Amino acid sequence: MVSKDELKKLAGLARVELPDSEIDSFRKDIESVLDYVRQIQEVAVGDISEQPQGVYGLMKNRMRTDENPHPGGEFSEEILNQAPQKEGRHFRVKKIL
Amino acid sequence: MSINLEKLTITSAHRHLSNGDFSVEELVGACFKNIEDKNPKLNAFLEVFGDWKEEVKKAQKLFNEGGATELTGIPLAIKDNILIKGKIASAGSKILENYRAVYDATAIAKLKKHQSIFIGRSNMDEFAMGSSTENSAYGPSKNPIDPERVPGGSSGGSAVAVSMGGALASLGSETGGSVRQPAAFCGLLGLKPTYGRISRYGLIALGSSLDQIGPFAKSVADLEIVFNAIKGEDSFDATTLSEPGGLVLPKKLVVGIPRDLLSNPGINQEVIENFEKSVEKLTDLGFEIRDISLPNAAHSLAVYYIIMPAEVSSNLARFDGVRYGFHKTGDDLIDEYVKTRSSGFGREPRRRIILGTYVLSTGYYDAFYNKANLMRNLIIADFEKVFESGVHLVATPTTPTEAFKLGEKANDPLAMYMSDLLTAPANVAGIPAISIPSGFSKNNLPLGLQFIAPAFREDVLFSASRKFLDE
Repeated sequence: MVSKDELKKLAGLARVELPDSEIDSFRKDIESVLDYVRQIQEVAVGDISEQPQGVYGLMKNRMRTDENPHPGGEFSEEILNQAPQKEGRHFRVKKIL
Repeated sequence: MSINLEKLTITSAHRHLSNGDFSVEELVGACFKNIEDKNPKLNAFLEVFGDWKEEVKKAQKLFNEGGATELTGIPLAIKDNILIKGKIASAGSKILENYRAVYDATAIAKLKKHQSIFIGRSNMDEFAMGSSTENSAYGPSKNPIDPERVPGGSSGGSAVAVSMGGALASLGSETGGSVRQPAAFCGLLGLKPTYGRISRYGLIALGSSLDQIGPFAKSVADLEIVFNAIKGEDSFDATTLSEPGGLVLPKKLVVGIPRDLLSNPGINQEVIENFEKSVEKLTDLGFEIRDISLPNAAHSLAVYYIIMPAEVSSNLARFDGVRYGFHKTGDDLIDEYVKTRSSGFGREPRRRIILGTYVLSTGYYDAFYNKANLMRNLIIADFEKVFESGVHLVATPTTPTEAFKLGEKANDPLAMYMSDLLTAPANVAGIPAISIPSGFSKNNLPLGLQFIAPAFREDVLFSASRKFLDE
């Protein structure tokens, strides 16, 4: 069973809040899913490869030559228009240090 | 002529548009009329686009002056997680409520070349997490056949849009069954292509090793037209794959029935009976039927509910309220992340983010995430063994039940997750699958038959479906 403290810690790591009013119901939901997925721990996998199989085995990194860059700032305004807070050509965040 | 949108297919609409029986404007206008009448009740569309007049003119011009393709002027609904430049793409979430796409998804760019008409963006479970659209931050969609029931999910809005005559076809996205299941519940056809066949550039990510864009339509021909238009390698998505050449369609198709998978008590008896009738029909049509075994496929759903949340916890980390989307002020930067994400995400994304963080955390990583990846390889091997033995297709029902009632499973996540029982294996294995209508339940609700094929063999899915539907 996942403890309340463990759940709070995970939520903290994932940067989401888990208010006390929700913690019991979240614990119940998550435990029921974990209970179900634990079935895979009973299965013996034998000597199956750890490498990606099927179509996943066909995937490769694709490199391109680093050349012909688009003109600097070409997309900046459009992208910055979606930012909740901006200043000039920068995203604005609370001070870090 | 009058336009009957509930029956009209892309192919017949194209014929009528070519013959001048009706104009693109009349066709699109008929869709809007239907949406105006039905959407307030069914909630298929989150937004109907207002700038269609110019697009309609351009499409009509192609008919008048030459250059029209089968998709020109065809009204399409687009799932709310696929980017259309300048339009909102909210992924059914409050955190992206006002987010406007700054570029076109590759699938959209390809459809624009045909001058298809994008009618609007269709409702979905938040970030495609769900099997009923009840997790949408904008209220559930309703099943047009029985509005007390769900249309399925997560691409429920895209299914309802076509089923109610608001579009002739639509795009959805699949991670564990999110096109096939709503297609089955709404009496449509839905395709989950081979992983890598359609670019995900511009698709808001859920589980990146599973996600694929897939179409909904009313006929095999229509499904194939949309699929052919959007498939292909894309330099913007490194997971896209080139098509192998020289694929030949077998003369006599051998269909495997995975009896072990079908013995799950979660599958409704009525669904099994409907499926057995479909198998009889396949026999009558000249298919060879073989009982097969996929010993590990029964664990697909468990594997899926480890890998998917793990990928969710990583993919959804980008929503931090800094670069785009919803932002909530906090005491410091970390507090802003937490407040933004806690108010912006609904319950299901938060649940899956925490679950994903759990299965990836020290002490559990090997037992859950690593083991799930090994199991995934076993499931892929199961399918490969069956296909190498001469079986061309695996058939199952699409869903374990008929469309369920709104609210029936909303408070029991595991019960909701079981909806993906028969669809998840194809996603986990990265292979293509289709759902086609196979009749009705006693409640007169549509049921679906699923075919699963080896990688890249969508042609076999289409061929078998044509025969089954006598198309």
